[in-house]
Amino acid sequence: MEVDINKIENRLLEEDDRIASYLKGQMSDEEDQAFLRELEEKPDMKERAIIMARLIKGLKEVGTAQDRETIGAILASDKQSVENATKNAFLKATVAQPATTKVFSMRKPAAWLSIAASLVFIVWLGIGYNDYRNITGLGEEYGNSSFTTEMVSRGSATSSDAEKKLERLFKNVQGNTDLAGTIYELSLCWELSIMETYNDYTDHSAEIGWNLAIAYLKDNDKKEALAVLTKMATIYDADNVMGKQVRELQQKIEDF
Amino acid sequence: MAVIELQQTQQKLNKFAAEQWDKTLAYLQGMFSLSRSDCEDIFQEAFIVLYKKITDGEFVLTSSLSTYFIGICRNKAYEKMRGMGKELNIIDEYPNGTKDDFEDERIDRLLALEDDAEDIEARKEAVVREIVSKLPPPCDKLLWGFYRDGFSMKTLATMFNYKSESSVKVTKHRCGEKFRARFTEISNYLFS
Repeated sequence: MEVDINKIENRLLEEDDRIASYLKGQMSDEEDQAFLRELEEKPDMKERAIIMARLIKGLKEVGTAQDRETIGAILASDKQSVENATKNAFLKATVAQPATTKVFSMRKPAAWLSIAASLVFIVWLGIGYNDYRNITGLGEEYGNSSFTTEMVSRGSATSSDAEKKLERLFKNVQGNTDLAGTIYELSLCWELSIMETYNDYTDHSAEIGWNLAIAYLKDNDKKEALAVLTKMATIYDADNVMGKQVRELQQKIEDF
Repeated sequence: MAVIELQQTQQKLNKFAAEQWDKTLAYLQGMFSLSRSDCEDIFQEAFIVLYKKITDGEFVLTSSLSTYFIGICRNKAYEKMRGMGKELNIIDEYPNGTKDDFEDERIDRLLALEDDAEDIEARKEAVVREIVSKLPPPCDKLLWGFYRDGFSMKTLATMFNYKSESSVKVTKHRCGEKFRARFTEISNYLFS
């Protein structure tokens, strides 16, 4: 049987409206009760209602905290600082505006263009291969450092689920096993480890970040490797061991 | 105040001003068709009004600070339009404080349906806070605009150049789904 995607989306949009009406207290008592009963009957709608409630609560909490900070900043400022802030906002917006693009007319014969394109492609292939070897080579070279090979729990019987998970992922990086899947899992762990709130991954953020960067290099993804290292450089000072290693690798990648 | 504190204060002000300028420009140009230069004048005057209200101690916040601020800009825009002798036939569904707010008690009632242990619930809330702080465009504008600032679909459509109210509705719905996917992905990884 064919399923009409538009119908499904319309049904979900209507449910969104009803969940929002409930949360705003716009329903009568009877409608309220009927809505709650419906949630019990429809697990998918119930899950989406809970998620919407979470989203709204999160936005409220983050928004209120930001508002408090702004009010505090305004109270601690003078009129001049406020005027400067508005001027900076205009300036920033002007700088961020895209430049107008000039349109050139193409008059060269197509044959010349295709020859030039072929030459560029051949050169690009050569450079690309060289780049590939350099980047993945860096992954291999730095992948042998103690930060990659050192295990989180060192085989302790009391290691947590998160530590066991990390050990498996770090071994994958070392052995070049399932790089795509490992990168996906490690990037989640990395995101969790640098969250402001303490969690199972917080204490291992240095090893997670390092292994993720190495995995990206081994996968020839220079851009993502640099993004992780750049973030790490903001966390680890240049005078500690990890900070030094991060900056050294960052520099080598940028040099290619 | 120490130099570092002064710098931090200025940074916070700059951040708020930059965020509000993007929103205010979209709102004033969308709703009132004002020129950029008129919008700049309104924005500057409104920021001074906000500053005075907060520092005079007569400030009571019943909505988000952004909603309150754009409300001042809106009033200034009406003044300007009247001053220019322009007709005011604008259908403006601007949020008016607490009337359309989502109720905390009802939010908690829905969250209680999940029956999580207290510590897990607190950690899930932390995950949500992280996600909503880094929403990608256009979800940042739409989800914050609708759920926090209280803009109607119609106003959001005008502000962000959507073809219709229903296009905003669909995009907002998809943003909600993306949020759900991200939250579930992280939660499963962290709590399963």
